[in-house]
Amino acid sequence: MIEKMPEDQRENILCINKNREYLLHLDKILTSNGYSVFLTDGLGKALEYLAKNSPSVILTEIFFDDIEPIEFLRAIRKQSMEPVVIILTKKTERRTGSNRRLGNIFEYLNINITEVELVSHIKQAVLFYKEKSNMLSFMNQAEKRMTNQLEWLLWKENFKLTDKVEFGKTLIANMKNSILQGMGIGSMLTKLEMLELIAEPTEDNKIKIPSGFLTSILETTKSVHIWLENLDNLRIAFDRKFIKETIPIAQVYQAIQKAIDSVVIFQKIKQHEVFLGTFNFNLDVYANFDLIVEVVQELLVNAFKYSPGNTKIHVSVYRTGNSVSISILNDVLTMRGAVTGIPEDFESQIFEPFFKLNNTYDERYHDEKWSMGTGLTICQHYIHQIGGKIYLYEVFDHATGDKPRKRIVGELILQIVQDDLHPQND
Amino acid sequence: MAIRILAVDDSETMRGMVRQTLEIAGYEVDLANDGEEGAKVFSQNKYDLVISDVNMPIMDGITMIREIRKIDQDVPILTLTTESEDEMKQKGKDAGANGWIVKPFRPAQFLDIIRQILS
Repeated sequence: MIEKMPEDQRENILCINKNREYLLHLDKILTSNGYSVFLTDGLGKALEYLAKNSPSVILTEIFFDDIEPIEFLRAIRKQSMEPVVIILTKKTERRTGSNRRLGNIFEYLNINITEVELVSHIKQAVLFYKEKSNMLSFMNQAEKRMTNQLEWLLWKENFKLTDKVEFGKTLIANMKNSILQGMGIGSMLTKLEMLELIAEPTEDNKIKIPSGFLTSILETTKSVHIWLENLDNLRIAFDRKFIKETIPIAQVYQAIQKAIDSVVIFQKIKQHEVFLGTFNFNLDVYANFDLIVEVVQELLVNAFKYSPGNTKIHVSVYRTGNSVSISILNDVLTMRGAVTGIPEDFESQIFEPFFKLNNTYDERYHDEKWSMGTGLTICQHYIHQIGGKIYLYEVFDHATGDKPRKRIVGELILQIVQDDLHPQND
Repeated sequence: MAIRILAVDDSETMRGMVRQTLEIAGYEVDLANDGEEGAKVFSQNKYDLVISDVNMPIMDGITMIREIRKIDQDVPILTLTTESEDEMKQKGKDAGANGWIVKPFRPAQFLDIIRQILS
């Protein structure tokens, strides 16, 4: 027994034939086999139906008095390419070459076909239609995916250009700021032009200027030389490669100590104090001694620059799971009217080359190794070479003062070497 | 009575150059290191002109200008800014500055602007 399917789930079949009795005969057969049927005796109504519906199969006569078979089929196909067409005709001759040209004629049957055979052909046609539809749907989706991907690639290409332009603009702005800051080329320009105001002409066509003024101009040229050297250092730093080594934690500690000792000159500028905590575990990490020294140096100088004077910087080394953290904590420098601390939104951005959170420049740190907003970028570039990570963020420090306060953490994370011969013990 | 000018900049070099240029023209100059100090010094003295950097730690120039305008609506205020900071020039104006001077400044031009402002 064939279960009667709900109307909306039945496959639709369009039957076209001038013989009304035959149409009703088809209707009876197809309906009793679970199909939904639309009957019509002419091309016009068939085309109207196809405009609003999508039958799976078209069961049709093609030999009419008023239209050539090929024209009839062409009209049907023009209206809808999807349904599977079965020709069900009173004529006994097989498909002609002209009909064959229309390609997807599924079957050519005679109206004297038995009911069982007809239903069997229709079942196959419906199956074919479903497979064809799935394939078309899949191809449409694939085409859509490809279009989306192309659009995405195009957008990326366009954005890359915009990104490059923005990057270039940022670089130019930062370089210009750096050049024009107090101690640099800007200062030199202003002082040289000041000669116009203070130089006194002499009788022998020369000029007199105060010796102190000449000294200050020469001091400025030294600053410009340092700035130019730093540009070279930046280029070298970006190209530098470190070897990822296995080193004991005690050596990492020595590297930190070396870094602290090397930045005393910057520490003294705002009278900071640096405290290095102890550690009590023994293991190896993936690191590089020189790399640790350079990165910790940079993080310390940053801590000095961006914290209030006469405050403490705490450096600690501790184990967390499969890694070791080196943390550098400093107090937050108030920046009323600008960005104070490191808001979460900027935690990634601060590592971008030439990015500066605020456009301030403390010329007392003019001799620092990496300037113009490149220090953190270089640190990240280095740390990634040894499989480590670096973060900068705000925390509430409950441990190092009388009361909890917001501080900035510069954190380096180094991977512990998993080695059976060297068990980790705390 | 000599004209008294307050110059605010976190760069010691810039403070020195501003002072030297203004003193050549016979002005009296007081200096401040940042916006907070600048606002404090302004509240304690009488000035004919304020010249201020914009980007400073502790308190930036824009905030300082607003603080000064709470005390004195009339004193002329000029900001010192690099050319790229168009946004800053406008912010300065919105806060109450009368104009700006682009860094690095040209001393002769700088003094011309000061004379115009003061007259």
